[in-house]
Amino acid sequence: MADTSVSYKCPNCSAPLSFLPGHSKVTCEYCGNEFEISAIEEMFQTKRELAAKAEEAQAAKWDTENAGDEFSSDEVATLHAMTCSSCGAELVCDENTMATECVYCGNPTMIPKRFDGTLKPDLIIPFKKTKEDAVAALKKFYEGKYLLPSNFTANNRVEDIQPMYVPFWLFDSSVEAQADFKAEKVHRHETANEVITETEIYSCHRAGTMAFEKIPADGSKKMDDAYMESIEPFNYADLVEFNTGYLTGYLADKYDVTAEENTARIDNRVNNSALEVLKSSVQGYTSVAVENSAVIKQGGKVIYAMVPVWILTTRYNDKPYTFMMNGQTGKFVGTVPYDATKAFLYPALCSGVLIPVLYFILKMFLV
Amino acid sequence: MKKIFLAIAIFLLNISVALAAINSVNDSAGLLRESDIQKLNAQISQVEQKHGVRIGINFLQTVQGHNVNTVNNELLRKYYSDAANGGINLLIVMEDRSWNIALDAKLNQRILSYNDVAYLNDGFMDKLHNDNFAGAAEIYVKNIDELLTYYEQHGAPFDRTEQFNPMALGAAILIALILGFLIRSWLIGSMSNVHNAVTAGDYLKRDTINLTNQRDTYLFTNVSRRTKSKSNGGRSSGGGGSSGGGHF
Repeated sequence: MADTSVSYKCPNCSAPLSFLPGHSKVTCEYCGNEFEISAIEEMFQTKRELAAKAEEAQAAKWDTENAGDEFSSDEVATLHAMTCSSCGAELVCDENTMATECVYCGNPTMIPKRFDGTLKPDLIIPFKKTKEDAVAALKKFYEGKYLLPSNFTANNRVEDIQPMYVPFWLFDSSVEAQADFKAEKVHRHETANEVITETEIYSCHRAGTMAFEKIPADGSKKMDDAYMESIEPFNYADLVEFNTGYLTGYLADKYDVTAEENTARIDNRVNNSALEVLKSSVQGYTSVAVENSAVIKQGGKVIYAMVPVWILTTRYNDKPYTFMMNGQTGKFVGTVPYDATKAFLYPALCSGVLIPVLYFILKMFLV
Repeated sequence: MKKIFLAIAIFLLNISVALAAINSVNDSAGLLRESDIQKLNAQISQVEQKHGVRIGINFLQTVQGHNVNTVNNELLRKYYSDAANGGINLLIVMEDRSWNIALDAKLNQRILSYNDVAYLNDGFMDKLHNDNFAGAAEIYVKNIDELLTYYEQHGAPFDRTEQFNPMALGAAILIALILGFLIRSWLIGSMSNVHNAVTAGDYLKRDTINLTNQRDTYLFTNVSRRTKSKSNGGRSSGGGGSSGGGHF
């Protein structure tokens, strides 16, 4: 059976190739040879085409009608089998996997069909942060978390650390915005008998245009939107043209959330920012409030890109906790559990200390 | 300045002429009954002998435009400062319904503030409000007696800031609980830094911002007036003594 995947192996020693974070070349960690990204691309081009054809042929054989009761058609549609070109083992992955590694031999494996044609990302931000960086960031993340259960760090073990290229849509957007604000100027003055407050009310109109560049929105259902938005921003100076060489040694998924499905999220963020810009131009007032607004999108292009994310999973009291790190900037995000006893005791202790202090201060004024 | 003191001196001379003799209680405003005056004089005499102080109460219809504080200090200096442990005078002026208590330097070492005399026991201000001047004067004398007794027993003057204050304690507990709740919310919030992004400010190209229209239109002005609460007390101190008061 023809291989449906391509293993990126060193042409010198056949060991797995990796794109090491912070390097500009693909490296063989065994013989030490380094290869230009473009050379790797060229070297495996033919193999990828063959693998893609083999997968097409295999996909045609999936006959879900005769699959019996063992798998539903939905399940079958999401399961894809392929052979590891290194050890011949059968790998099963979901419908979005672009790059993975063989669970038997550890060989980095590409599934070319997943980045053919329109599925091919335009740009990619290569990994800059290493696994060690991710582990160090996790430890640092625990620091200063006063409510962390005492035995959390001791009993908590990192179950999995995975580097993954996550599909992102980068939206360019030009907008024309206008808004009316109600603004107030408050003046206070005193006479011998009265305190007089004069509040001048103004109606302020603002209109303007502005452009946003590469607003990111993840294109993966697997990835929590809040996590993906929390690891922002990315430094786009590192964006390079997509090349499969960058995926060697990493997991990668193709998008399963389209750009259109993300437009509502993006529009909302753009609207809020456009209004902030207009509001910031209403100056010299005591308070400013939006009365009505309209933000008209002028349209813009969308880029399909892959961005690097470290995913760390830990387990505590049989419950998994997921953390993510921006593989480019190192920004680390996650949620840790809190100890309910500490959450009661610490504030109670603070209140206990504050009561006598406040009492003596207040007593001066409430005699 | 000399003119002011001269004017006050002439004014006080008029008062003293009006009053047959400078007694402890002098009512040139005609507010007290004779029996009340006698009763107060007896009460004051007893307290004066007990503590070696001089206590005065003066009711005037007018101070003829002079400062009440200054007039009272002059009354105190002239008529109530001859006792071993000092003197004190309560002046009530009916033309503007004001009251003032002045203590000399010696008594000020035993009684810290005119406020203590006025507010040690409830009712002084209420009685003034209700024109029960005899009752207010009685409380005034009673408070002086209690404050001086406290000094003699403890060797230090009564200090209201050292006394237990349930209102301050209640307010302190309430504020501490609110702060505790805010601290708890902050601590729990610090356990996660996962939040949805609501703006796209990081991706805004600042050099593309172009304000095409900005117009500010004045609409109207709201005016609100709040009457100042009348000060219940103004105080001054000088020469080691102190005085103060307010309106009723």
